[in-house]
Amino acid sequence: MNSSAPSSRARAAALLAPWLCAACLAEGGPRPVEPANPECVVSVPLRRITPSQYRYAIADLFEGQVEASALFPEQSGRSETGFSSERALNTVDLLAADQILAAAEDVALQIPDALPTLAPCFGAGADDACVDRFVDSTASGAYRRPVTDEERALLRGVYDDARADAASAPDAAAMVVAVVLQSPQFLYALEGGDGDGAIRRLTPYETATRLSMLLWDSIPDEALLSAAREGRLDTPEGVGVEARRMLADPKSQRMSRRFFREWMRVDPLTEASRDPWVHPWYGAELAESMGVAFDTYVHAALTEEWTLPELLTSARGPVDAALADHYGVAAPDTPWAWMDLDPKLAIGVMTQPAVMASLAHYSESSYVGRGHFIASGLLCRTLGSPPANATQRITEIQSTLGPGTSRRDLSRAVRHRPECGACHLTLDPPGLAFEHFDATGRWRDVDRYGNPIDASGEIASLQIDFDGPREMMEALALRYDTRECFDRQVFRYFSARLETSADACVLERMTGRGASEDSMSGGFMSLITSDTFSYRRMEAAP
Amino acid sequence: MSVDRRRFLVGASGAVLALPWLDSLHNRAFAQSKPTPPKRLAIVYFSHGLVRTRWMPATTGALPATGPISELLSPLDDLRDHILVLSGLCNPARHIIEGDNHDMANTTILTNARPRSLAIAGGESIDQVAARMLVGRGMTPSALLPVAPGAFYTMFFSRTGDVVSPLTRFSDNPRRAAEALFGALPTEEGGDPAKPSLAQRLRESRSTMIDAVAENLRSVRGRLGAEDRQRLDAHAEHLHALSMRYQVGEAPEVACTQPDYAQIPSVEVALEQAGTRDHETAPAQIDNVVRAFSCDVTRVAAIHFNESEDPSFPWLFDGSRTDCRGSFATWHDMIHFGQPTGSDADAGVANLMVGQRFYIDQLAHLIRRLASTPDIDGTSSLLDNTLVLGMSDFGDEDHGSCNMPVLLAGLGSAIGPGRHLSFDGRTIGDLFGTVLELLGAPAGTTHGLTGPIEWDALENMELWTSSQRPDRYYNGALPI
Repeated sequence: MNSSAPSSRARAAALLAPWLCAACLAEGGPRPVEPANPECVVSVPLRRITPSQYRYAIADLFEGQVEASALFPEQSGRSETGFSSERALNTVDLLAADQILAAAEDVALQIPDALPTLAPCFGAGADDACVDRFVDSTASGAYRRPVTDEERALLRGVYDDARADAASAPDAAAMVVAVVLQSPQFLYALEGGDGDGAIRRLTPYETATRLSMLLWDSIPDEALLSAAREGRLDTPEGVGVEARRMLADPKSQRMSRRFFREWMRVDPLTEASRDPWVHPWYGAELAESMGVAFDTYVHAALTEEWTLPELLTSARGPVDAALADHYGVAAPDTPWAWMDLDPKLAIGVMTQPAVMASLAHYSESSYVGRGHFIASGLLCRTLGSPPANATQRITEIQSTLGPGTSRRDLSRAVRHRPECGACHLTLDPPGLAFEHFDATGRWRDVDRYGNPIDASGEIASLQIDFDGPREMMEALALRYDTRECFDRQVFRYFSARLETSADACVLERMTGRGASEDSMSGGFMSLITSDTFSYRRMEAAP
Repeated sequence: MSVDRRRFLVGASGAVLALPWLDSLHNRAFAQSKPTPPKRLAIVYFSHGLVRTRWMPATTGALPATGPISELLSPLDDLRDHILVLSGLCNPARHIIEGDNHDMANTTILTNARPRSLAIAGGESIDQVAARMLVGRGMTPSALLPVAPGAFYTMFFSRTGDVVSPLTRFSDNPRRAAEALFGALPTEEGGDPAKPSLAQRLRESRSTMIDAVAENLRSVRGRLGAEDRQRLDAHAEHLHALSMRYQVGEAPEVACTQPDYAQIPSVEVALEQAGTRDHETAPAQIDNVVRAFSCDVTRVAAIHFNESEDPSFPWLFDGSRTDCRGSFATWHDMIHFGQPTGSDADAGVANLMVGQRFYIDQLAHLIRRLASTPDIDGTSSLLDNTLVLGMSDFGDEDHGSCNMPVLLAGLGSAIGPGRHLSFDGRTIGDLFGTVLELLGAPAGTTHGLTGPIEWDALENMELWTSSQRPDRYYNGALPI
């Protein structure tokens, strides 16, 4: 855990200071109530914390002293946006409520052992002030704002009842934690805002939660809560200052990892992910290195202010011994090093081995999967769902072609079918550009049947002709469509939903940002410092 | 909030090697009056049915006084005075929507509900209903104890049609299952055994804690937008249901401490080896059930033989995982084709008999253990107060949906033991109504579908093999 994390006592001390209600005076004068650009204020559905946010929140809240529970509801199903924050993946049905209960008990059971660190005063008799401090620091940390008197009384009641029933002080404290971790204030980003209008300014603490969930995948730290309390989140500049601080914090790795993995559909790779007969070099070590390299690559891209074209075309990459072998270069002197690689086989984030491998099958590359990412993930094209019998049809077509047919010939045969061509004409050419990369992301000159690989093609809708993946990616990297789509992904990641026409204002603002904010983090910053981020449109009942 | 909680009275000294928990059971030093034993339900569930011509007793009425009940049921011969054999029941719900016959059977066989989709049930399984009826405060409402890891299928569903709560699904490793089941009990050594552990407190306070959470929810919903509020309200409804689940009933005082886990077999089976060590896990999970009942930590338990697709019984076939299949590619093929009406009849039947008899052996083992373990009043046996339901998904030959083998045992004379009754044209809905009534539900209590069966509207009739068509999903409790 972060060794510089403040103790919960420090957090409590900060939060116990009188909490001025949202609409009132803070240092520097009254908070602006009306947005400068009301048309940029959008609705954002209620977000429940994701399993990943849950794990990080538990780690941060209890300073690494307790383990998050494996019983917290896992996600199933596929989201529309690809991002795990989406509402449909985080609903609470009876089963999930039960799992949340089980997870809360799991964590509570660890509290007595963690108390000497979390609240040393429990070792010295746990007087009233000590208990109050513990209740306040736990609840305000989990709720991400100062607790109200009513909330405090309820939790104190849980504690006192347990004590009256002869529970030890640490056991009673654990029961408080069990309630806190099931409470909606912890589980949801509740955004009531100020006032009663249809457009409301978020309270400073609600803004802080947006920041921490977006940039750290977790709860705010003490510094962020202080900024909220002291009115430093009342202006876009102030929010920007905090956001930049947070991006520079190592905890932003959680965000870069989640955003880029979910956007690019990078799966966790294990030893068993690939066919050992086809890829004898593939094993647990390489699988792990591929994941680390991807996470390192995208985090550098985000925090070192790379532009989108750099993300998509850079020939640099993190390399360790396993990946050196993969790239056919000499192993670095240090365990990991950034290397200039052959521009032919290192084409930005797309050819990161973890990406190529995730967009592939067990024993073969997937030109359809790769093309699908280019079309829908990089260009935000809307594609229909494959027909129910698509796999069967492709198998049929494959059987007419005979074994050893190249993927390009298979694609050609599929595209000739009118019912298949509509989508595959769009999907296949950009996907086939990556045929040199096998199912582990390793370069190959011929495919697994010995057929030569032709990586040329065209993206007809953009009038891009290319000879090989680098030409294609360099052309795509400069397109407005690509930039606009990336900004849409950032917006989806933030809003946990697909964009609609009502979101045009903020999307235009993001994509039209100035040259000085051209980096990808500039895209995040332009969203974060907009009225979209600090205000919210209240939804009517559907 | 005050916690109204039973106390655990522990008077046990040293542990008796074989049955350490029984020792403390007999030493309820402070018990003023003898507690009344609660009713309980134990389900033994295995897949693929039994070969019909070999399990069904030749005649209805009283079971033969001597000799085997039937070829497959003969492990129950010495228990014949305790069991009631039911034949003829049908599962019409399985035929409602189009889908794989395994999926359809699994989503309906314990729910009697219209499936929501292929693998999602339309309602809760019978164990969950019984759990709500029988659970006492602070208990695990029900305990699902698999005898093998993973499963292609499950038959046990919560009210939302999802698999049952993680708090009620236990490990297939018997020792790990025991640690979870009994972990809230006081330990024999260390600490003050009269004081409940934190785990015990948490468990017993679930309902009050959920109520506190619900109060939190009410306090924050007001400022939200209408759509967000609706979402929280849905959450609140589930909290209410959960609170109910964990609130009902009072438990009598039972003196139990945690067992010596080292005495319980720890068997880790890899997923791809599922079913290869059932002979070790099943008896140990059955012991867990018996211990759980006698310690009153749960009142509903299910032993689930969940290697359903392709069991192999290697310990019965010289250690081989393939011998049981005879000339067939899989066990499943043998079920289809090896039955007496199939194309390769007798080649498969002999091996089917060996494997299927194992399930009946285990069912007999459970009944025997319940019969030989005193209940909390010290006078009756656990079996006297427990209804045992042995069941499977398929009947007839070849995955049929009528004539599933159904075996009841326990509850003294309430089930009218010692007989074989055939109920042609009756349904599992009727069976479940009977089960719930036997457990104390009012007459006429139903489970799942009840209305008329619209035979013309059923979409999955391919494997309906019975000449009898029940008119309704529920026709009343069975006249046993």
